[in-house]
Parts: sequence; C-alpha cells; structure tokens
Amino acid sequence: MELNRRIFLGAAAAAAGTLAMPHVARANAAADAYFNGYHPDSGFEYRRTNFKRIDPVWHRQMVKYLSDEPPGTVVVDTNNHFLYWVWENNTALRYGVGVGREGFQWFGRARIDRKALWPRWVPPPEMLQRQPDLPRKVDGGAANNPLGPRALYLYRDGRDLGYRLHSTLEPWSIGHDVSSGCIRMFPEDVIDLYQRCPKGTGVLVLEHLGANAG
Amino acid sequence: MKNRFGRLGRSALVALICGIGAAGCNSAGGLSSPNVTNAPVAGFENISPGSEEEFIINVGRRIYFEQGSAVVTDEARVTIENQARWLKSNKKWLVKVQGHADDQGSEAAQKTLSTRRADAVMAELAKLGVGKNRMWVKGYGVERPVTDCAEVTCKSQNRRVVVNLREEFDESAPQAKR
Repeated sequence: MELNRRIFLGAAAAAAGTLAMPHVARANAAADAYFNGYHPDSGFEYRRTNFKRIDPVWHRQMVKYLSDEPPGTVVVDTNNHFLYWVWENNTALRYGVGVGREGFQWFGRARIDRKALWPRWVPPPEMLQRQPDLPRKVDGGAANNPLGPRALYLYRDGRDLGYRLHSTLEPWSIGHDVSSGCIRMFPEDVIDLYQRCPKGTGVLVLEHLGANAG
Repeated sequence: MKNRFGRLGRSALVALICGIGAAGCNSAGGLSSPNVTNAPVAGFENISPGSEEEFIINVGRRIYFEQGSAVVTDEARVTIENQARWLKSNKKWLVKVQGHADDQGSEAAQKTLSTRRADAVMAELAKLGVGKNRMWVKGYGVERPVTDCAEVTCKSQNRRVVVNLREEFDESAPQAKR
C-alpha cells in the first residue's frame, strides 16, 4: 500500500503547510481526486467522497446475507472489509470499511451504547508512542479530526471496549488494513449507519483471521 | 430433456462454486443470482431514481424512539428531514406511516403509544411540506417486531416508526373511505 501511504503523507504535509514542495503537490492532487466538494453537516462540514473514484464493491449496497443474526444487528467482517446491517428476508445493507493495520484486536459480541456527532479525538497512548508528533487532542469538527462527523462506540456489559465505528479522512483506505484500531467508513456511510442504529444495537465482530498489513 | 439436464448441471455447478465461497459469484453473467451471502438482491442491482429501493438505501424507512416516548428526538428528525426531501421530489408515492412499540404496559397502551409515534412523524413530515392528503397512520402496537427478545438489543429496534411507500390507500387510510 505504498501509494496509499504516499497520498496520506502528502495530505498530512499539505495540512502542515508545506505545499511548496512539488512532489507533495502531486500527491495532494492524487488525494484530491477522491473528494468532491464539501457537505455541510450539523454546523461543520466534511469532504464529500467522489464515489466514481471508489471501486463499486465498497459502495453501500443491498446484498443477500445468510446468517442467524437477527435483523438490526451490525456484523463486522474485518477480514473482507465489509460491515453488514442485517435487514429482512436474508438480506443486509453492506458497507465497505477500513481496518487496523495490525488487525482488529478484538472480536465477539458488543453493543452500541453511545453515539456521538462530530466527536473530539484523543489519540490513545499506544498511537502516541508510535507517532509522537500527533496532537494530544483534536476538537470535533476540525478538518484534521480523523473520527469525522460520527462515531458509534462499542460497549460490553456497560464497559467501553475502546473500539469505534467512525469516519475517515482517507477514503482510499476503505477496503484496506491501514488505520490503527478502529473501523473506518466513508463519512456518508457512517452518517447513514448512525441513523439506522439506535442505541442498544447489537454488534458482532467476526474474528480477524490474518492481518494483511499494507 | 437434454437441455433441461444441461441447465440443471450448470446451475448446480454455480451453486457448488459459490458454496465454496469463490469470488465473482455476484457477476455470474446471465445466471440467476445464487442464494449466498454477498449475492445481489433482485431489484437492488440497478437502482433507479425515485424507486422504493432508492428510498430504502439512500434515505431509510425507520425512525427510532426512546423507551415509552413518542417525542421526535433531534436524531430522529435528521431521518425525517431526509424522508421529507425525498418524498417532496417523488410525489407519485403515497405514504403509510406505521407505528410500533416494544415498551412497558398493556398491549392496548402500546398500541396507543405506537399510534402516537406515527402521528408525531406524520406531523413532522407535514410541517416539512409533505402533503397531508398523501399520508395516513396506523399503530401496530407490539405486532410486527423487527426482532423479538427481552433484551434492549431487540427492544430498541422495535420502538420505531416505518415510513412505508405505497401506490394505493389501504383500508386503514381515511382517504380510502371518501
């Protein structure tokens, strides 16, 4: 995933105000192709995804889904980078997701006990250890907040598992193992899922059988 | 006879390949879609603007409520606004607003609650410009749950209103009796 990494670094450098470097400008243009303007949302705005640039397999779509999970359940298949919202008659709404580079470390049953609009981001200590230059916190709504417009928090027995379903600033990362930890979605998709999942929604995270790190 | 067996053999082969979990079953050219996870769903493959399928995928039919409440939350209003926008640009559809409950109290009380939920959603849609003459409500009480169990995972799904697109008024619509 060297290309993705370059794009990411380019976007990060551009954000840091180093646009003068021509290779950065090129990488930034490559990243820009993934976006299509801005969309206002609850007092802030997110970069709209250019879905023409995204492989149709990662688009939100209705598919057959054969399982014993009851309708209304969210099933996360980190291995195949799909998230299913189980609908009726053996069907599900399927979304493409991005997954942690080292694999999703947790699997099993959880519940969405908390939901947030434009949440503040505080990088966990392990991430700060790997990337000491990260800010200590990023306000909700800020252009560099990686959680984006929505987050759904996974709990078990009343305890925050530390795992979230949230948005991404890097639409090219959907379908790949690139982020650390959480499940990332297109902003349009996490907003859609947020509306479909009331607090109390059951979540099943399937075991990540083998991480294909970038 | 030979042809029939030939076709049977072909579909059995597809079922076998798809059963193993091979990729590409979604696009088995010319063959009917196999009944396996990730296969396309009839009607949802090429979604046309203004269709019920578009409403289901891009807008969503369900609006959720807090336990025992028929108050439209800020979160619920987001869905209702999306629905109103879509309904105003797709005027051919009639709208049956169906209320449901999985709350405390008698079945009669829950039927009343489900009707109040449907009334609340219809009032919001009307406020946003959807014509009242296109809409009607029905409270189903505890009938037709999304899923049935004693846990909040089920109950939260059932405390809802479903905005259902219809081509004709049914017997629960006052418009049908005029």
